[in-house]
Amino acid sequence: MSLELRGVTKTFGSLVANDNINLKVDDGEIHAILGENGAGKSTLMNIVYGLVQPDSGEFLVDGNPVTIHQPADALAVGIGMVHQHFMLIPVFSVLENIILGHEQSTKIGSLESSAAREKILKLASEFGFHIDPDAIVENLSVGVQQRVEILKALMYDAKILILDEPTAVLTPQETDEFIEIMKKLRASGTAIIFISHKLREVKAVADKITVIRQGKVVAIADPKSTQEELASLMVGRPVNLTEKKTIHHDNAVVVKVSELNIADEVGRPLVSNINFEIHKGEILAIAGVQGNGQTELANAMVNLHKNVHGSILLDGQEIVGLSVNKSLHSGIAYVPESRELDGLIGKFSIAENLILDTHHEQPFAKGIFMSNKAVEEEAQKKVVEFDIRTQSIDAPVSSLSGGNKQKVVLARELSRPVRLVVACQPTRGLDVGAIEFVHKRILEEREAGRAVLLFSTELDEVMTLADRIAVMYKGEILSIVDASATREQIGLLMAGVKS
Amino acid sequence: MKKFYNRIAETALLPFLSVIMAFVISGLLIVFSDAAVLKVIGSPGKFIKVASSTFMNAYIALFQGAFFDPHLTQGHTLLQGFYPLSETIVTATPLILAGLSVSLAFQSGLFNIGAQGQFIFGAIGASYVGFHYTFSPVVHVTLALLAGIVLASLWGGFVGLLKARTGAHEVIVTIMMNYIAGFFILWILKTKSFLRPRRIDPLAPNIKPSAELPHLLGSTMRLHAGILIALLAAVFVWWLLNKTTIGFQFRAVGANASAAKTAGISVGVTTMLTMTIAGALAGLGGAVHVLGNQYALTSDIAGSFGFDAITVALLGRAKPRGTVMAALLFGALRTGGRTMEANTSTPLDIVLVIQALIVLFIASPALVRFIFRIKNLQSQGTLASKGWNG
Amino acid sequence: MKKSFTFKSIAILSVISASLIGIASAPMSQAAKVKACMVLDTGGIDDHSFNAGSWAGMQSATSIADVQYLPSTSSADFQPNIKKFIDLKCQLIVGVGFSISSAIVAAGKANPGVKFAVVDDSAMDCNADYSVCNAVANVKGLTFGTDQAAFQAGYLAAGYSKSGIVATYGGAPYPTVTIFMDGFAKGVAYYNSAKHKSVKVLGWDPKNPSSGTFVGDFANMNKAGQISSNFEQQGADVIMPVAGGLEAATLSQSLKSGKSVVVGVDTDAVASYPQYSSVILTTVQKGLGAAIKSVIFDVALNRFNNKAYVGTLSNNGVSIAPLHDFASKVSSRLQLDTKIVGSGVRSGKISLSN
Repeated sequence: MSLELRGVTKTFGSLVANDNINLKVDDGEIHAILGENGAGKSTLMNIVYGLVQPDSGEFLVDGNPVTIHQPADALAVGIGMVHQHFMLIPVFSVLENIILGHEQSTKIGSLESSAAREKILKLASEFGFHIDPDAIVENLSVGVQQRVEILKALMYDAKILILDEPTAVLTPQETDEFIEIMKKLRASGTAIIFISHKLREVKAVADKITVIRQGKVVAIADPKSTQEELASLMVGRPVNLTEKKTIHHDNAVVVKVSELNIADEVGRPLVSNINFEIHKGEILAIAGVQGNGQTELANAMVNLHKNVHGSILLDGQEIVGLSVNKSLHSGIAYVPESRELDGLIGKFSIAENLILDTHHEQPFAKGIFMSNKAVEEEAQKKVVEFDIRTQSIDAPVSSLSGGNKQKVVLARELSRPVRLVVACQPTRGLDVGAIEFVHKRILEEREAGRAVLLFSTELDEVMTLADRIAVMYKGEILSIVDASATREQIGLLMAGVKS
Repeated sequence: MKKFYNRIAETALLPFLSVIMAFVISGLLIVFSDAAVLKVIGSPGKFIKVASSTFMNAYIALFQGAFFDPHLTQGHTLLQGFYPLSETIVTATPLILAGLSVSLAFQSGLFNIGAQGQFIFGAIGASYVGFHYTFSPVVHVTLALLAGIVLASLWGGFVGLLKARTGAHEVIVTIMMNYIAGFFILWILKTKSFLRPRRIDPLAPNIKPSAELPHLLGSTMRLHAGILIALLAAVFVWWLLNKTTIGFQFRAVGANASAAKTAGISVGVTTMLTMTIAGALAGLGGAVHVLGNQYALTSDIAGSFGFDAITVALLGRAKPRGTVMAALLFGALRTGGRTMEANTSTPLDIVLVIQALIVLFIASPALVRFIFRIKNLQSQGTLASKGWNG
Repeated sequence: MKKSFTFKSIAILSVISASLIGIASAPMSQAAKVKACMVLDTGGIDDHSFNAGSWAGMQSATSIADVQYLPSTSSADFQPNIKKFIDLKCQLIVGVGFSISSAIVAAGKANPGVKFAVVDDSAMDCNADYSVCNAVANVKGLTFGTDQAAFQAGYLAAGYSKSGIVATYGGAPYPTVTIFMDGFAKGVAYYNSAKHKSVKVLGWDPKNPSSGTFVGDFANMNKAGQISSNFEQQGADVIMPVAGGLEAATLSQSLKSGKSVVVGVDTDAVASYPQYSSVILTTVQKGLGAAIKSVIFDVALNRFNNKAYVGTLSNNGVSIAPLHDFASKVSSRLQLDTKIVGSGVRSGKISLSN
C-alpha cells in the first residue's frame, strides 16, 4: 500500500506549521522524516493520523483520494500510529490493552478474547516478538511495551505505520533490536514512516529521507549522505557535529566521591558503593539506561537528596550534608535533568529565573531589598552572552523554546564561580542547533579546567563528549571505561553485562 | 493605553462578569420568592410591574445599605448619608487582613484554611492586653496589636513547622487547628483571667479606652483606624512579595517548589516563614476587629471571617489589591444585605447566595465565557489546585 | 462581544445612579401603632427555641404594633442591627439573648429617646472595672426564673420515671442553660425526699457543676443524639435537653428507641414538634412571648419602666406546659402533686435556694 500527501498546509494563527507539503510513501518502504523540534513533523503526522485537520491538501491511498477526519478513518484505510508517549493502561494485560476499544462480548456476556489471543501470538512469532499476552503492561520493559504498541497497530491491519521518535526511550541494544523489527515489517510489506532526530539510526534503516524545515520539505535526502550533510539540511546552515576534543592533561583531582550510598525514605538502597574521581579539565560521563540511579546520584552531588552516606570531596572539602545553597556556592554548577520541573520556574520571567540562586546576594539584593535594576542588567548581559532568543527579559520563561530554556539554566548555573559542572541530560529534547550550543559550552568549561560530571542516556552524546565513561546499572557503577571503548562494550554494560 | 486596558480587562473581567451574573440570578430568586410577586403571577402585565419593582427595591436597598443612604441625611449632614459606607469598610477591614493572609499563603503555594484560628488568637492576644493592662493610648493600642500579631504568628508558624519538618499537609493541619482554636477560646473565656466580672457567659471585659483604635470620622461613624492598618498591610504584602528576597522566595516556592529547591532556596524555611506571616496577618485582623469594633472578646468573635477570607482571596486572585477589592465587595454585600432585609424583607440569606454564585462563576470561567461569548477569558482555577497540591 | 459588554455595563451604571438619586421608601404605617423591632441572637428565626419564642411574642402584639426582626450571624452583627433599627425609627428595640446585652446597653445610653429590652439578661450598665452596675433608664432586662418551672418538671419526671433514672444535658454551660438543669435536679431531689425514693439524675449535679453533660454548642445534632442514646443505655427514661434546636435530636432518638420520653424547654415542644408529641412529657416554658408582649404594651401605653422583669411561676413568666398526649398516661395523683409542688414554690413554702 502506498500513501501520498499533496499540498498539505496547516496554519495555527500566524504560524505556518505545514506549508504545501508533498510526501510519498511507497509500499514496503521505510521513510524517515527528519527535522528539528518545531519543524512541523508532529503536526504532519497528526494530520495523517486524523488528529489534526489540514487547511488544505489531499491524501491518496494507492492512488485513490481518501478523507481522514479522525483516527478511526486513518485506521480504516490502514494507517496506524505509535506515539512517543505510549497510550497503554499500565495495570491491564497486554491482551486487554490490545483489544481496548475493540472489545467484543461472547454470548454469555464475558469478554471475547480467544481470537485476539491467537492473532497476537501469530503476529508475535511472525516478527520475533517475545510477548506473553497475559503479562501486565507495567511489569514490562519499555522496549517490550513499545512492541505492544506496534502489535496494537498491526492487529487492526495497519499497512502504514507511523513511528514517532520510537528509539528515544530505548537502550542501544533495544534500538538495534528495534531496527531489526522495522526491517522485518518492511519485508512483510508494511510501510513505515519513521520520525527521528537521531541521524545514525535514520541512516541505518531508512530507504528515503524527507527533511522538513520550518514547515516545508527542504530535501529528499539519500540515506548515504553523511550525518553532517543531513544535520545541515535540518538546520539550514553548515553544522560541525564531531566536536574537537583538545586533550587536557592535569592530574589535579577536583572531585573525589568515595563509598557513596543513597537510600530512599524507608532505607532501601537506591545507589550503592559509588567511587570515582574527576580531574581538572576532564569530562566523566555517567551512561546508563534511564532509572538506574543516575537521578539520585546527580541529586546527591548538590545535596538535593536526603539519606546520603559516604563522601564527596570537592577540592578536598566535604560537601555531603551541606544545604543545597551551600553546595551550589561551594563551586558546583548544576543542570538538572528536567528543565521544566527542576530547572526553571515557568511563570517567572527570564530575568527572575537567572537569579533564582543568587537573588539574595549583592548586587541583586541589599538586605532583603531587591534591586530590579541589577536584576535587569544581569539579564540583559546573560541574554547576549548565551544568545537567549526572546522578545523581552520580562517574558515568562515558559514562553521560550526548549533550547532557550536550557540556555537560561546554563547561564544561571555558570554565573557562579564554578569548579565542577554537573549536567544531567543537558540536551534531552533539544534540536540540533541547541545541542551544538550546549555541547560547545560544556567543552568550553572543560577547556577552562573545570571538572564535568555528565549524566546522559544518549550514547552518541556520551561518546562525543566524555574523556571517561562510567556505566550505571541498578544503582551501581559497573565499570569506568576509557573514551576509546566501543559502542558495543558500553551497550553491554548498560544492559548489565559485565565482561 | 490599550495595553493597560487589556490588562485590566484580563484580570478584572472575569470577577466583574461573575458579580453581574450572581446579581442577576439572585435577583430572579428574590423576585420569585416574593409573595407579592407570586400573587400576580397570572397576569403578565402586573407581574412585570411588581416583579421589576421588587427586583429594583431589593437592590436599591442593598446599594443604599452598603454605600450611601439619602434617608440618613435628613436632619443631618450629608456625611451622615455615608454611614453605610463606613459600615461596609468596618465589616471589610478584618476580612481584608484575613484575606491577605490566605492570599500570601496562596502565593507561596500553601492553602491556609487556618485563617479562622489565627484570627481567634489575634483577637485573644489583643483583647487581653487591651483589658488587662494600662498604658498611654498610642502605646497601649500598639502593644495590643502586637500581642495579637505575635500569638497568631506563632499559631500559624506552628503549621509551617509541622509541614516543613514532617510533611504534614497544611490543609488538614489548619482545619484541625481551627477546631482547637475554637474550643480554646470557649475555654479561655471561662477562666478567671478572661471572664467579665459578674458574668458567667463567655464574654471578656471591654478593652480600656486607651487600647481602642481611634474613630476616623467622629463618634457617630464606626469607621476606625483599622482600615488604615489593613490598607498598609496590603501595601506591605505587595511590597514583600514583589520587592524583597523573602517575597521572591515565597513566589518561587509557590510557583515551582522543586525548581526553587534545586536553585538552593530552602522550601522548609520558606514554608515556616509564609505561615508565620500569614498567621500574623490573620491575627492582625482579629486584633483590629476587637480593638476597633467589638471591644470585648466573645466566643464567636471570629464569626466566619476566616472562611470568607478564603473566598475573598480566591476572588481577589491572591493579589493584594484584588483581595482588598473583594473584601470590600463582601463587606458591602453583608452591610447592604442588612438594609435589604430591614427595608424590603428580602432575607439576608440572599447575600450568601450572591457570594456563593460569584465564587461559582469565578471557578468556572468556561461558563462565563459561554454566557458572554468571550473568547480569551483568563482562568484562575489553577490557583486553588496549586494550593491543594502544595 | 465588546458591544454587548459595553451595553451591559451602561445598564448597570444606570441602575446604580438611579438608586443613588431615588429613594425606595416603604409606605408609612398608621401613626398610632408602636414600631417594635427585634434583633435575634445567632441561630436564626426558626430555632424552635428562644428566637422563635421571642418573635412569637412580637407577633402577638401586632394589634398595637408594627413588628420586624433582623437575624444575626455572629455577635459582630448585633451593633449594626441595632443601629439599623434606630435609623428605621423603631420605638422599642428588643435584643434576644444575653450575648446582645452589652450592645443594647451601649445603644440605650446613646439613644435615650428609644426604648430597649433584652431577653435573658438583666441588662445592667457597669463601670470600667465592673464593680458597680446600674440599670439604664430606657433599657429593661427580661429574665426568667426557669428553675421554678424546671423544679416542677423534675418532680413530674421523677414521679413518671419507671427506671428511677432521669437525665438532662445542656448545649453549653451558660447560666441561662444551667438554671434549667438546676431546677430540674432539685425537683427530683424534692420528690425523693417527699416520697422516700432515690430517683437518680444523670447529666447534672447542682453541687458539682463541672461534671455536667454538655454538647459544647447548639448545633451539633449528632452529638446531641449520641448523648441521648447514652442516657438511655444508662437507664434514663426521661430526658430534658436544654440545648435550643438540639431538642429535635433527643426527640427523634426517643421516638426511634421508645425507651424514653422528653421534657422540652422554652416553648411548648408539642407546638414546635407536633410529630413527636407521643414522646413529649411536658415542656418547661419560658414565657418569652408574654414578657415581650407586655413590654410592647408598656411602650404603647407610655408606661415603660426599666425595672427588671423576672418571670416566675407567680406572674406566669415561667410555667410547665399541659401534658397533652400524656394527660392520660400520668397518674392523676402525680398530676395533682405536681400542681401542689408548683403552688408551694409560688408561695415560697418550697425554697429552691438549696
